Amino acid sequence: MTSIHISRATRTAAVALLAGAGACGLDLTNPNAPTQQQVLASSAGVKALAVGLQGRLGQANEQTVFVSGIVSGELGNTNNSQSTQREFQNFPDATANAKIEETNPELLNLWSRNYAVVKTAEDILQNADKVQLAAGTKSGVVALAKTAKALAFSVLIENWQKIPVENLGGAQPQFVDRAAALTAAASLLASARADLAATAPSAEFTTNILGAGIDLANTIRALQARVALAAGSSEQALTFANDVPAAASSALPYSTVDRNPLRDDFFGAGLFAGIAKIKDNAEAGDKRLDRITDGTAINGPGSSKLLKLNFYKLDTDPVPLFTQDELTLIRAEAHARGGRLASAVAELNKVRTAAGLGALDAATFTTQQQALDQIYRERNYSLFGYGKRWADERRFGKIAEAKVAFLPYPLSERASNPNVPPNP
Amino acid sequence: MSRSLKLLAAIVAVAAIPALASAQFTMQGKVTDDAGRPIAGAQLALEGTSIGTATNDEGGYRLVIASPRPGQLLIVRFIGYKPARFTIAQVSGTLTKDFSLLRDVLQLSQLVVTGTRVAAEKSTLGTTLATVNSDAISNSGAAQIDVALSGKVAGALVSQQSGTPGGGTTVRIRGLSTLSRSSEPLYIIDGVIVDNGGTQLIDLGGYSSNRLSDLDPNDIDHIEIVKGAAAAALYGSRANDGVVQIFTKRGRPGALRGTAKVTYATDDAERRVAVNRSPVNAAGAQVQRYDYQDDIFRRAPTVNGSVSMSGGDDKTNFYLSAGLVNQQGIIKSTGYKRENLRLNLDRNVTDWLRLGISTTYIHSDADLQPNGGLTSTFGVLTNFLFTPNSYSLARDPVTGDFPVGFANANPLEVIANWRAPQTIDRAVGGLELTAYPRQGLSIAYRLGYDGYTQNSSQYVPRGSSAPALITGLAISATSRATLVNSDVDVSWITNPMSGVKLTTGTGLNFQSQRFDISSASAQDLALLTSTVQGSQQFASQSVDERRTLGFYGQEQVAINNRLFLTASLRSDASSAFGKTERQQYFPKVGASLDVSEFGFWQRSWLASTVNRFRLRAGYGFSGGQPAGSYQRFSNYIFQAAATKSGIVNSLTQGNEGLKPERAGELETGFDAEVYGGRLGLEFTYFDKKVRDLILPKTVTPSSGFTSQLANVGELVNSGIEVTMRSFNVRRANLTWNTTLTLSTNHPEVTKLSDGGAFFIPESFNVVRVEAGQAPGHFFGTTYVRDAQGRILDKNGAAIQDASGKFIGIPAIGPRRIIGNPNPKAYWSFANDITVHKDWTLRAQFDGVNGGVLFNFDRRLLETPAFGTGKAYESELAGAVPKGFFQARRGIFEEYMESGTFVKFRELSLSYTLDPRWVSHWGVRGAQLQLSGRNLHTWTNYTGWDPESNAGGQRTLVRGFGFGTIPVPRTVALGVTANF
Repeated sequence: MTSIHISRATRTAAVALLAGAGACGLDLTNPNAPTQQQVLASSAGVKALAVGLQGRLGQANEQTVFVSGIVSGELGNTNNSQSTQREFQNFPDATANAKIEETNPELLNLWSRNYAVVKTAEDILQNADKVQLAAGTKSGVVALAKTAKALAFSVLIENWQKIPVENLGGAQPQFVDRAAALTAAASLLASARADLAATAPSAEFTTNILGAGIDLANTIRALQARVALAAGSSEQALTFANDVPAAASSALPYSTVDRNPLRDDFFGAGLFAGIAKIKDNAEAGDKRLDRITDGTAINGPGSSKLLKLNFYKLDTDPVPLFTQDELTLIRAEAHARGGRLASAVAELNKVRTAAGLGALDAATFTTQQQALDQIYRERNYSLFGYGKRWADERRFGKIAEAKVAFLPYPLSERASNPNVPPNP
Repeated sequence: MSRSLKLLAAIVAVAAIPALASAQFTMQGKVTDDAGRPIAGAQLALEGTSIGTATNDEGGYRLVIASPRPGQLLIVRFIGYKPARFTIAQVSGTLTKDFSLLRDVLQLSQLVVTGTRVAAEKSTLGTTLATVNSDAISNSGAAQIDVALSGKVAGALVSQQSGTPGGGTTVRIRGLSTLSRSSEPLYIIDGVIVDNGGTQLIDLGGYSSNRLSDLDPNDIDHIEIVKGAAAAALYGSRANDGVVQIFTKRGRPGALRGTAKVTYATDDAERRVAVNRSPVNAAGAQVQRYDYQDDIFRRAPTVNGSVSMSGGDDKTNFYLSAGLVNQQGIIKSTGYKRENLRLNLDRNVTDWLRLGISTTYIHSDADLQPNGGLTSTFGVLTNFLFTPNSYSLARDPVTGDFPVGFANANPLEVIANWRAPQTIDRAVGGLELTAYPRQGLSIAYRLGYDGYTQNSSQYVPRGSSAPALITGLAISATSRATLVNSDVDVSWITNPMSGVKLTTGTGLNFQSQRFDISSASAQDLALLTSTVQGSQQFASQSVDERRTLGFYGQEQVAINNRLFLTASLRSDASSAFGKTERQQYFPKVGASLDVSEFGFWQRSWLASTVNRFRLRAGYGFSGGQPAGSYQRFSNYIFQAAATKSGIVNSLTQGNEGLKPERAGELETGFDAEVYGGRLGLEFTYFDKKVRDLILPKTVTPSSGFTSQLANVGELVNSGIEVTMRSFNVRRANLTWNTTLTLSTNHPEVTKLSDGGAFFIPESFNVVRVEAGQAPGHFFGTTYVRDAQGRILDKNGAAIQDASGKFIGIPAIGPRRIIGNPNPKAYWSFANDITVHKDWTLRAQFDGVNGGVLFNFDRRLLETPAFGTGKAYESELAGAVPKGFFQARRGIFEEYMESGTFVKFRELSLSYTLDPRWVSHWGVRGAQLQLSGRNLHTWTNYTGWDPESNAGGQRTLVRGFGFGTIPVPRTVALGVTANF
């Protein structure tokens, strides 16, 4: 220790003498970016993190939409040279050479962008108590952080069999199974809901921090419904879905500066397009197709038939966090799984009528499977491009048994953590 | 009590001791070489004092010693000659004494600055150190100092990456020492640390100029190149890539002397690529073919003028110079102008205190154009490649408009309308105060400043021929750089016993540098504006500042002037190092043994042939600082969300354990002088291992970070360096000297993070680093071959018949390592001949052996979609199967070409006019010089130039031929007048 002190004294004296008096030390700060210390110890830092978190949610969603879309045959690659993305297209139609490499950078992106959401949420959750925040602002940022973290877990567990949910950033976090991951997400959402109930968010939070168009309270309820459904608790899902008012909507807003990233993927760089089957198999007069595609055919690589997409055409187009159609179809599914087929068809018909299609006769649905098949089909159209299809395939039993239902773990996670489970 | 404080106290104390006054003694005379010719600029110095002078143009000197002491030693030195020593016996009156200096073939008595600030004779060092003198630089015909060094130094590979006027040169000393930083050596001018950054402020395709181009080669007195870790105690954590110390000319006492030099030169592209002359296109339609190289390249003139004046008395000397360069580039619309002014002042304040000041101011204007294709596709040559030569690019004679570019831009419109000016305003200044308070002790303080403002702009007018830039683009980026160094050095020579000399050196160095870069750009421009005015505007700024504080101590023991042992320790602390690794230590040891001083040698039969034989060895460490000053921090970065400004953690995690890359180098070798000083041979073997290479290391991504910079990699360089000089003929009316340098290097990356391999950004995923392989190798698709090595098609049939004719289309094989761009060896061979004192001839050939170049130009030239190259004619004529070239363009192995070349680098013929012819104009002497540079290239490489590289200043992207301006061939005529 003595030697360190001497060298430090030497340094200080020498710097003062050689560089002139005073403020010249070797501990320079970075003027271009704040450091961890500066951010986490200040209320301005924590509030700015809550804004940044919403940006990260959008980036994670971009990757989720494209991976789920490609894997489930919703979206296709427009270009032969997108080799890393094309690996997802061949998957999980497993032929010998059609697998996703553990080194695939897009695979890592899906994983790391969602965990970046979790990291920022953790930064908020661990420091909100340590900095000075108005009570309503604190309840807002904490609820937002919990919601974002739950959303990330719920997305990750639809892509990987097991994921770590605790001790993240620590040494070798443990992986938990689907049930535990969904439980973690559910309890985060419940806690977020309780926070908001206990202290209403301040105007500072809703105006200066939360993006315009995001309805946090109802997003929490919708996510609770989504998570409960994924966990197989369909009755709970029904309750949560019913908590959301019929007029509620929530979407990540974008501007000409902070641009919708999917717009560039679809129309700027033009990486992805719809798979033509969605149009070929549609019922005549389905208005939902108008949202999905403008009908222009594109010849994709190989002999794939693609369609030009028709949503997120503007940089400023918002990305929904949930839609009323999703909630309606969650109710339909909950009724169907609960054996209430007529109620299920009634919910289905709400969606169909809105889409300009004829109502279905509940009497023609004699088995639960029939109803579920119809719900799956309606979900494909109503929720196209929202990154839901692959999870739906799994929940509705549409993935053939021989095929792999989950992604391999990114190599960089495996390389540094021995707890990573074997690849499926 | 800290050592530094004591040291500073000592400076103050001893500086106050007055010198003893006594009688005055004057020495005068002439200094000549062994052929009896006067030596101008020879240095005479009274050892251990500030007293000294230099000879005038006629070799004459006059030295006044105010308070002489009997026994003081006067040393006469000139680069390339052995010094003469004279012990003063007289203390008053006047003594006339002439000196004749002998040529020093090994240059071992050269004074060099390496271990301590006080110059040491090269013969005392355990390491080699190269010196290049002013003639070698000013006669090279190069407009830039670094270019002029090409071939002059064993172990330094100098390559001009681009023929753009005003820069783009890399100097690699003993191979690469990093995979993440710039690999350029540290440059010091008159003790001032200067920036040689090659930062591209705006994207002009990847290449950029480097800031050493700001200096006028005419001002250079000599250059020392410190090659390795074992030699670089002075610069510790900044010396991994070698150190180039540049010394500018100083004033000489005597009447005012001036030199004026005017040179007129022309540059052109030595080689053109052969173009497609087929009368039909792929569809069989008749087409007209053009060779747009005629519209792009030109023979470009350069005018270069400089004036210098020097003079002084026995107290004060000055050197004043001004220079002007006006150069056009070989690509139309490019050019470079530089104006520079220098004043160097020396003053002997007292006979124990000397003050030296160096100042220079430089202004330059470059007109650049985008070129090269690694990042930008708008370049002139780039679009030559991306346009079929049947596509008409010429301006419409009726409307005056250029046709829209075939792919990215119309290169002729780029030349006509696009502009990318770059201006530099730079001031470099140094102040040096040296005290000699008592015999053997010297204390020096030095303050150095280098500051410049660089502005780079690009203006693409509205309505340009580039479809992506139809509404125009304007960029203006400015970098303000400030570098300061402040040093105190103490050196003390003692003779504790007979035959033993101790030289002790210690010092403190403080360095700070700050770069402030701001950039503004606009799109959707208003018509006819040429500043950043448009409906879409963007601006950004970044600052990078770091400070380094170092101290060192060195002890050298000289025993009987034949054995020299040196040990030193350097310690650096830098703000860029992590908190836990702040203080870094770099020890070194060296030994030099003059075997020929021993009786056994002198008595042996060898002594008659080998007059002098010295063995040397050194081992030491040096460092390389992290590329960014703030990489140790876990930074939080801007993240917008719906017009609100947020922040999130950077995905790159900070590392407070970040420390410099660390090179450990062993070097050993010998110097031999043979045949009575006619032949000198310098041989060195080096083995440099760089540990703690800073590389991104993968961290567990579930932590919310994806990577962290850490000291994880290792690489090695090993090779030999040979320098041979011979004085073949030395007669009064004819001298003939030959110099040969040869260097080899075997680089290998021995360890990477996670044991894996990675691709270098902006290299099309072709340039790669892998443990166990050469750094920056090419990795790409291959041919499929059978056991006999025949190339196969996708059905497994050979694509060539017995006669070699192509009958099939090659199949694309898997990606693997296909080439290593690092040369195995490089050499230079030069001859200097002087006839009758008035004619001198110099010829230098440089060569590179081994190394593979990626001829991406050829790939595009034969790609059917463009098909401008001659090769594609064969498919149009039906001589190869249809689809052959479309398939071949996917096989990168095909475009690997040998990088071996020989260049006729320099040819210079000069004639000194008889002074009688010019004297009545007040001119004392005049010289005419005809010189050529890069006159011819012998190579199998089929592109424009085997030396230029689209990777520019980048560390790992080497030998990538893609739309890069070739290094021009230069022919120059110059006149020098002395008055």
